Amino acid sequence: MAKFSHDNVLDAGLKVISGDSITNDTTNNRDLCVCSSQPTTRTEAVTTYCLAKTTLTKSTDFTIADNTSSPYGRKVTTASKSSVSVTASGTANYIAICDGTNLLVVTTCTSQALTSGNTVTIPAFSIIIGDPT
Amino acid sequence: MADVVLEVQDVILNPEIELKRILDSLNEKQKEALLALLISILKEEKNG
Repeated sequence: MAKFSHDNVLDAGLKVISGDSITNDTTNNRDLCVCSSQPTTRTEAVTTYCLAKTTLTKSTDFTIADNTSSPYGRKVTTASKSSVSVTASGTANYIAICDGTNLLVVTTCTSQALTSGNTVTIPAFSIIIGDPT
Repeated sequence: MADVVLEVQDVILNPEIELKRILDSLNEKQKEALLALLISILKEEKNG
């Protein structure tokens, strides 16, 4: 018999990111941070290495759906955020999502120089959990 | 005022599942060839 997990099992992890989970911080929106170095804590993401920061509104700025290409499974996709103010000059290398307490996810972006006073656009991206094999 | 558009990579939370899927799809000869390749790469890395 093939291995199986219900979508709800995978979605539970994705909902921690989107703010829908009942086991996590569901009261705060998420911070979407553009960072110069890899953050390992929430403070590093939102302050120490932060070049630009905006808000992902919990639930509504996230879409959970099937991932219909390899790796098959479930994914949560963030909303694109346009013209976010750059508050510190530096090179963007990482994108982080935080809730009110924790650093939840870090991903990479192509290295680009940002200048304080300008703006940055962060396109949609996905966090994927694959089906069991 | 300039706007920089970033290119952001997706996150795969359990990439080993995808790797296992690929390994399961290989036949014995392909697995042997892959093993030989990995050993060769690791030896090269070890020797600097």
